[in-house]
Amino acid sequence: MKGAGIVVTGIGAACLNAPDTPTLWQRLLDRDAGLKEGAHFDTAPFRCRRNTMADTARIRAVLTRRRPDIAQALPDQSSRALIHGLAAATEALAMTKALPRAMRVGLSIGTTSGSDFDRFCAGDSPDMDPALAMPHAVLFAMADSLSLTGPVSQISNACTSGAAAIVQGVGMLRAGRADAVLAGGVDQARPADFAGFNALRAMSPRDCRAFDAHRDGMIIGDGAALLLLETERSARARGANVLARLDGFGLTSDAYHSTRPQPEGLQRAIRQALAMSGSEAGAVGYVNCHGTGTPANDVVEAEAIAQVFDQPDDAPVISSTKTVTGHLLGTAAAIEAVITILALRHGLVPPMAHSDTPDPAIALPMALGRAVPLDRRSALSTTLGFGGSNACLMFTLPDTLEKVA
Amino acid sequence: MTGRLTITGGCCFDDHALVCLRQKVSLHVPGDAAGTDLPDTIPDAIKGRIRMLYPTRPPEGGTIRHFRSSRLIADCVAAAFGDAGLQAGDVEGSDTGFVSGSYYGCAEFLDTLRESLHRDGPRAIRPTDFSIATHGYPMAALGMAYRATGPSTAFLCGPASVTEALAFARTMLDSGLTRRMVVVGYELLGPQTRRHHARLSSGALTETVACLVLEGDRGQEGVPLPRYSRTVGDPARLGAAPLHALLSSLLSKMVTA
Repeated sequence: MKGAGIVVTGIGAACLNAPDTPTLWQRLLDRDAGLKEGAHFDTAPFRCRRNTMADTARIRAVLTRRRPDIAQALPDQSSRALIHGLAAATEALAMTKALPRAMRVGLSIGTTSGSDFDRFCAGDSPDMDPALAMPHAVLFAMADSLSLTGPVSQISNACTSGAAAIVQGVGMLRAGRADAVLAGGVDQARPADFAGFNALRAMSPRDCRAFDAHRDGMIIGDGAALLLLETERSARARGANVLARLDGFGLTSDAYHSTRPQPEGLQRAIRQALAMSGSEAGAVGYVNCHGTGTPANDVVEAEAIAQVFDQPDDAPVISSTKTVTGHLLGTAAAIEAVITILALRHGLVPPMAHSDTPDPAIALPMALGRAVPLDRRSALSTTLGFGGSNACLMFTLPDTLEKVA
Repeated sequence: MTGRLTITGGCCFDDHALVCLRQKVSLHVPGDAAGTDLPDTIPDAIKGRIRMLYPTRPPEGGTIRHFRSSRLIADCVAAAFGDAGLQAGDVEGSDTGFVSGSYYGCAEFLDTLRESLHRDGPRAIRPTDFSIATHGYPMAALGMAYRATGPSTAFLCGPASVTEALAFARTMLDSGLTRRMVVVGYELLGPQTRRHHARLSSGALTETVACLVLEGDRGQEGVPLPRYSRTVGDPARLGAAPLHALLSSLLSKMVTA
């Protein structure tokens, strides 16, 4: 069968300064990273403090307006990740025709440490309900709040978590375990993330300049992003508007080093996605890259892409939207999947923020300074993670496109 | 789309018992096992039996850094490969992937980082420790040990963990992304996770590691993967319970037959 046979009928996102996808898209076009130094914990002890951690109060306000029944039922001790996740989920669900009550909607999320287990262990909240600190607490709380009756799943595999969770959602649909699946990433950054990435000297003291000659690291943030997935047959049967097809995916490992990526692994993941889609490389007009802005990641990632798209006419435009959103950890791959779909539907590759002097070692065309027209119908989202894991998701516009207003 | 899958090897152990599937091994070490912990490596009595049956161990060193959970999982997987009749070189390349399921994942190792940060501040975090402080690291370390470049990931979804890990393995095999998936279920607790669990439940815990080698129906001899959705097992084993129950039950049927 050509393609994965899966379509996207809703998308939702919640992150800093963007509690929904229209606001996120505008921020990308405006190259508005909105970096800050404060967070929900004390950032003063850390060498690099700038971040894009979500404004949870603002996201909660949006959730309350959209679904007061859900927002008002949340316990006082609800984790930030739960609020981020519910905001993204309710936006994705509101984007499609109301799902029939009989539909078994599953939930598949990726996260790094999206529960409050750290808070429990630190003893900062002695009255905390230990059940809310379980690593899977947010997963089940989301399913309960949304009254989902399908299977639930949570992956924690560093930065590729969100992409693997989307693939798991595809598996739920293909196996007939669910009729629709909310799949993506839900996460909250912790002091340990700040400490660890600082220790690795992977954080920038100023901003994320992915693929730039003067890049010096990443900016960490958090938030949530979810895709509503269905089989093409199911979406057609209920007359749902299809935003994009998920035509292929690839998952591989480098089997080399925890933090030193190798181009061969990502290259194979991209080739897997292309092969599954049945498309030629020339069909792809855009690659939304992992693009952390660290010296090692960007050059390896660009090399992998260049090896696959080795014909001059095939070369897609690349960009890293982390220059605006920051690196949202377990949500990174999911929010970049959402942005990839938005780019296809708007026919534009949003420009990178801060990246103005392309690394001369990278020969691929980049979206610098201003948005670049996207006239091909397919785009990729690539992700690399600690442990040497690689992921690639391929999205294609449906044949009958309903343009974004 | 959903072809027949077979279990071509499997191993499971706690501190007093070892089960290996294809070799029909069920070893019990005398003693009270209720609520006990595994030591830093496999208990000697069990280790001796594994070495006798499966002398091949995965290569170590280089870029691999083990902590307690990842080492115990690596030992279990080595025994399962032996049970499947596979040598280390047989699993090199993109035809083998790894997936795990557990309640707490590597919270045991993450405990130590968290405590260092809490006690001594950010500078106490060593980059080498942070880079392996992910729940997916034990699976990534297996990939590095065997140079296996198939998919690798980790599930933390409470009682659904192993069921979802098995479903993921099936998706990988059905999609043709790899030909063999190693599915690991484990629960290994540190002081913080033990304290947390005690607040939730008065029941005892039995640290357990279990894994099976799952392959598509490509002429391999093996045990058909049974319906696993109802396989829950001993709740004291948390995330390892379904695979422990599955392997014990299959072995029991094979021995009886």
